[in-house]
Amino acid sequence: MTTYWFEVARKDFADAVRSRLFWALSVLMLALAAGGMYVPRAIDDQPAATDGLDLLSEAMLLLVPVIGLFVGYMAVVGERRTGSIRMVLSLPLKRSEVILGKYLGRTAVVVVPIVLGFALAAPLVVALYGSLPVADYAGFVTRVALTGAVFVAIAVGISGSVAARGTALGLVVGTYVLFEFFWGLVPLGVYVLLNGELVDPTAAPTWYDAVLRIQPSNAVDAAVGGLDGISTARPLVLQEWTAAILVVLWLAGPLAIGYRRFVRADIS
Amino acid sequence: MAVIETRGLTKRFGDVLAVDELDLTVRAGEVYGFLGPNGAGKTTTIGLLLGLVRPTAGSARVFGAEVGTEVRSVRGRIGVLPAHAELYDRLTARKHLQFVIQVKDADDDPAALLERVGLEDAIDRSAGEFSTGMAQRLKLAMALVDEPDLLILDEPTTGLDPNGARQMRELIRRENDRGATVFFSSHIMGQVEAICDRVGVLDGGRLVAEDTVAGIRASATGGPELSVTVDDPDGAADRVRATEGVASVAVDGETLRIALTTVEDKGRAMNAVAESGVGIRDFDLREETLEDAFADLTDAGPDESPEATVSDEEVSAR
Repeated sequence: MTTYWFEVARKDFADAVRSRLFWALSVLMLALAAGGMYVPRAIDDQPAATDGLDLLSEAMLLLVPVIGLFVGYMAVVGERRTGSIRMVLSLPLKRSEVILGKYLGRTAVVVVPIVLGFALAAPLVVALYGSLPVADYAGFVTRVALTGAVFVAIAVGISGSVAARGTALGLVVGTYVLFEFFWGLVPLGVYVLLNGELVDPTAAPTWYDAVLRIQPSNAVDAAVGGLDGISTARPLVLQEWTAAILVVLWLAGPLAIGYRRFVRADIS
Repeated sequence: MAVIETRGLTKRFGDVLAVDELDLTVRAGEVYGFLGPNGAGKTTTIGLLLGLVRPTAGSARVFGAEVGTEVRSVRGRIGVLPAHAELYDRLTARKHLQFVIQVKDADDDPAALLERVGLEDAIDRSAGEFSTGMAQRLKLAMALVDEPDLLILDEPTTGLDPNGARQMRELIRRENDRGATVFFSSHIMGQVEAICDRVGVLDGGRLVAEDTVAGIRASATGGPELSVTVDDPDGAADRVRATEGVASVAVDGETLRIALTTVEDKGRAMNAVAESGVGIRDFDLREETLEDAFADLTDAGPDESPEATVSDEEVSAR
């Protein structure tokens, strides 16, 4: 029995594993994990492994969305550019299976190097700090990997929606700038207009935090925080499970839009 | 039974009419040559047949099903060699074939497939290292997976040397002998002559002729002609005229212009001239190539080639 989307994913990943990009990502992840975990040891008198994770958090927040978008944006439109999509769509494959398979293949290209890099760095953490904070470490890797998976979904959605590489590139750059630089400015601007003063981050109104949390990385951050327990005391929109719903929407929404546009496209 | 059937099939890209009311029927078991100059709309038509392109109007049916709706049952029975489709540079020939074999749920052996197209030595080489000809061979091997009932080959001889083109024709013939219907496009008329049961000529998105190879040749150019210079042309004309395979005889000074039904009739016609007892000084065979017929059909306006199989209606519409 053929699992059609799996064959597409497998071929896509097999192709990527032979690329320099994949191995560059793996080496980069290992270097970041090892470097980031080493820094607190070097500068602090009483270092903790979690300090290393905190340090890495900022870097990963900026880097992983770039990687996800970059790995994903050519997934479909790249095959339209080379024409190999004609070969793929001449086979008994549905376009939905092509989108899903491509998404999973590209997600593996992002997630495997992250997991590989941090797994290989784990013995170093033990050597530096005497033990590995397993829950924190695993939670961190899950968060980074899930962030990658969300941004790959956005990029593959874009890739399926457009006919030209340049359009896809423009859209992923725009997406990055929107989410990483402008997202926080919108609620801030609204707050300043309403109150005539800057917001105090520790005492921001619920709507303010809720808007910030819609941003994909923040949603993933909040959702993965739910692994430690649900903050039932907070308002509904700020509980972890609503963030998990947002993550699902960020995964499924872009892919659904990409599919709907791809299924209507003329491959000529 | 019709394997491919289009009715009023039309595709418009913005202002460009790529395929114009195409009525095409390809019957089970035949080799159909789909001819036309570059830009005639051949690839778009194939895209319409496969559901890659949506028709603006009309219908395209393959194995009796509306294209695009029956992805598994229809495309599962088709082997396609697409034009303008690059391979995956980093994947080996084996990986390419394994992908197709898996998706088609077939049990072919990649090595055996590559042997059939003469690429067995390159099985573990990446497609990025392939020449155009090798890439074309691999694409053909991919089309052959799972013994398809229908082969759709878009410009299959692209990038092949004459020897490769001959092997391609032999392979098409063998697939046809096995029972496959073959639909292939080409912009080179000479390549289809030997293997096609029928030929459709596309120009500007319209089917300007559809016939057997001999029929196309005869209708477009008047067929082959034997010219024999003799000392007494009138003395031989009647006898030659009565010979089987001779369509007509005209006397032009000392030269007999003998229109033949097919080139193979040249011997009989020559014999008839000799047997009539006239002295033969010289002779010449003008074998109208299919190339000439093709040029007549696609380049010349309807006024210059009234004998082309274009209906009056279509002529006035052009």
